[in-house]
Amino acid sequence: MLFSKWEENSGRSYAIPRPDPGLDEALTADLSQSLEKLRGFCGGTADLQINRITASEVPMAFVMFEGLVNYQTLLLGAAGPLESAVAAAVGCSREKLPAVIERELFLSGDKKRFSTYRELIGFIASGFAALLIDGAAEGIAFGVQGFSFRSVGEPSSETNLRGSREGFAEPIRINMSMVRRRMKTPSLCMKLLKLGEKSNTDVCILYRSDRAAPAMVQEVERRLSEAVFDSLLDSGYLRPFLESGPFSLFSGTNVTERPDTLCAKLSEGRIGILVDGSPFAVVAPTLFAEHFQSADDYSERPYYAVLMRLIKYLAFFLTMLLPGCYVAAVEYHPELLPAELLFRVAEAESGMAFPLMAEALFVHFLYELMREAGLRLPRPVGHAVSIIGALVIGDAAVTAGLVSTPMVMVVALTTISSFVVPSLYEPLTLLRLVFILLGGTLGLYGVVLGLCFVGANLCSVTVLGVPATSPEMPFSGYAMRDTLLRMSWKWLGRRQFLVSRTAGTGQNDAAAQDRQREGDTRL
Amino acid sequence: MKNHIGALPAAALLFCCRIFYLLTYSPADSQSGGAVSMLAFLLAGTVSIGLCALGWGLLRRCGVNSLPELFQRGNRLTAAVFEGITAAVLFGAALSTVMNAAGFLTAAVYPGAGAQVIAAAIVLTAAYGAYSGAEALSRLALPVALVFLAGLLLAGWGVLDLAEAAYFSVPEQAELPAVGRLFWQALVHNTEVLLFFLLSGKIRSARPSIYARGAAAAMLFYQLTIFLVTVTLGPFAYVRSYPIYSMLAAARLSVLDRLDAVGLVVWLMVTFLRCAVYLYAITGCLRRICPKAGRGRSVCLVGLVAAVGAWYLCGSLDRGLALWELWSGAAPFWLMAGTVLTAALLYGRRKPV
Repeated sequence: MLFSKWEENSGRSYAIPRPDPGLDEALTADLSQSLEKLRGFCGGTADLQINRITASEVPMAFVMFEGLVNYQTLLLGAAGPLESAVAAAVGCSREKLPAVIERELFLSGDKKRFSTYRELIGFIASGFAALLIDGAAEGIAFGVQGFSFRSVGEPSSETNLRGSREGFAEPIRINMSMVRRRMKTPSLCMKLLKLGEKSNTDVCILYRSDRAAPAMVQEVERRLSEAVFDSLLDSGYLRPFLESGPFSLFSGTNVTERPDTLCAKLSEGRIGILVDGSPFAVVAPTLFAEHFQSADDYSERPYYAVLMRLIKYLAFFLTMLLPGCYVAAVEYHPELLPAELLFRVAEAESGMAFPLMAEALFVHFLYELMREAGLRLPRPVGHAVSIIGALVIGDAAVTAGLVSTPMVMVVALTTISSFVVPSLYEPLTLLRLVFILLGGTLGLYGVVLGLCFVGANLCSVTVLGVPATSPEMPFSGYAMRDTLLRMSWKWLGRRQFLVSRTAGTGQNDAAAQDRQREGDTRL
Repeated sequence: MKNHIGALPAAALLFCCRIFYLLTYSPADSQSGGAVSMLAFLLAGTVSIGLCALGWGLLRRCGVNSLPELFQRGNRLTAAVFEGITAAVLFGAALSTVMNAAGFLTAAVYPGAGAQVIAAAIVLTAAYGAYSGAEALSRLALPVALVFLAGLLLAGWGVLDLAEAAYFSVPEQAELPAVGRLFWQALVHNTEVLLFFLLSGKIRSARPSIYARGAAAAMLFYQLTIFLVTVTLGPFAYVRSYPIYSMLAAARLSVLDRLDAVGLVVWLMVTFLRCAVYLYAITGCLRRICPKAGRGRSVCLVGLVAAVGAWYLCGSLDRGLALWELWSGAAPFWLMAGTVLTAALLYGRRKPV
């Protein structure tokens, strides 16, 4: 109250935008009145196109948004056939014309009748052309979408050596078709819903009815239906709604840009979520071990895949702990370092201007600064920033005695390692800094306490009843064949892995009951 | 979608908690040889398993799965008294754990460092562990137990050239009182039995053979550890404050020059797990006394009280020794045994309120 008065007096506040008009109002039979109201609801927007026509002396109007409709399809499908369809409906009242046109006319594969302004605006905003007829209190929407979009291309964040080169695009229908094309089974279910109060974004829940536990699917539907947004613009918005429990650094969901990866996840009983306008599908639940897997693992020889996974695990620990352990060892536990190494480190550190912890934090700060600058700038400028940062500033910092050479080595190794597991980059960046602080203030003791904290945090992550640390913790021998190790396809193909089986919770029982009911006793 | 602790993670959690006793106490007693300790721990382990089986049978006979369920059968006042006694015993165990760990760190790793800061830091981290729940802690216990076992195997390999079988001797008749004393000490300090009865309602039902195998593995591990320490350090084991740590420092491997860093890591993780699970159990007692108290606030309160307690006790050697005197006796054991038996007699045949 006090603040609102202050705002009024200060004269700096803007007028509050008008609230939403009553879009749920029904269409009227008077065409001119309906069109006038529609213009009013849309606030005189410039891209609203109203084409008034007369077919067999019946006034009508095609309504659409500019740029969303394929005009060629609309003209070819509507101009001639509409005239003949209306002419064929001689004797019918105008009230019944929409039903007759819907039945007689094959304008497009997707025809829907509507009776409110909300439905009308929803359809034309999705690329439909709406036909309003004078004398009828309802209209018909024809799916003649023709908006431009990015074509299907190679996924930029999940590149691979072998396998498919297709990545998701932005339109949800195209993404749905890419999944359907790879999985020709009737058990693949796609449920559409709309989220976002204003954006009315199409969201698709994908799952395989013979793999996903029904309780899990219901839980996802419930959580998504309870999610409140003004505008849903990316699939990442939905991830927090699928996670549960206290704050965690690690997520129990993941995103993928690849349709083949999504299909593989669906086959394991997981649930995928596609959002219109986003090329990333959310997958839930995601196990921690999956961050160390890639699509190529399944195309390569098992021994090589195992080696790569071991390297990824090593990279994960290096990224998180190496700078902190280095600071702790040099500052508090020099006896842990071999004598030769200790002498060289002592020599390098002797002339430095800052304490080791400050030095480590400074280098990481510099690195993150240059990375962010390189990422947001146009690509050629980004490269230039990287070169200037790495060569000029890095070299100058070492020469000036701000950073020692061993520290540069440690940071370089750490940052390269962090790119090996890109899906964990965010938590690892934060943890790296925390471990440097702990190592610099409490030594190895602080690092271990931090590790305990991270361990407890990770072990408490449970998504849709599945612990993120399974199948290692809780242990599931059946699922271990594709975690740290990757067995041959001869073994993997025998028993399909199901994520609900690793849960050790009610999900497990539900999945088992479903399988028994369906007579599938293989699993 | 209720989450339960699996039998294997639960066994790993209890095992990790028990490891702490091994790391702290054995076989530092100057009058007890390695063989004496081995015999005493074997007997104490067997009797502890017997106590678990007896207690479990008693609870099942009363128609409950865990101790809190039995306590809740009475009226609110008596339930609060029983829960309060349990919480007090657990609180003593948690503080004792933290003090021992702080003592070890200031004696062996950080000479001259403030024990208070170390103790408070452990307690606060453990409070977060308690907040994440027994399920999360039990999941974490599994890799910690595995790392410890791997570390022991590495240590065994590393001390092969130092080991002298002659250091090991069969206990003589004159040493039987020492065996009895160590046996009693190990038995009454086994608060993990109490922990088992508190958590048993959350542990998913499993075949008794899993627990039997877990207990057998734990005892075997105990025996192996003491044997390694005895044959490696010989008479020096009795003059070292932390003989296992000394053995790890002495171990030589081609790649890992020293294993004491591994020992330190495992020691701290075990301390964290033990302290966290006790704080979790105390929070459970508190929430059963005050059902309206939220989980987060209860854990915060318990963690803060424990941190202040640890800070106070670590501030002075006398205060620390006073708790140690109280804790090293059998009083908590008898107190808890009396509480369980009284509750069983009072509410054993009664239906839940």
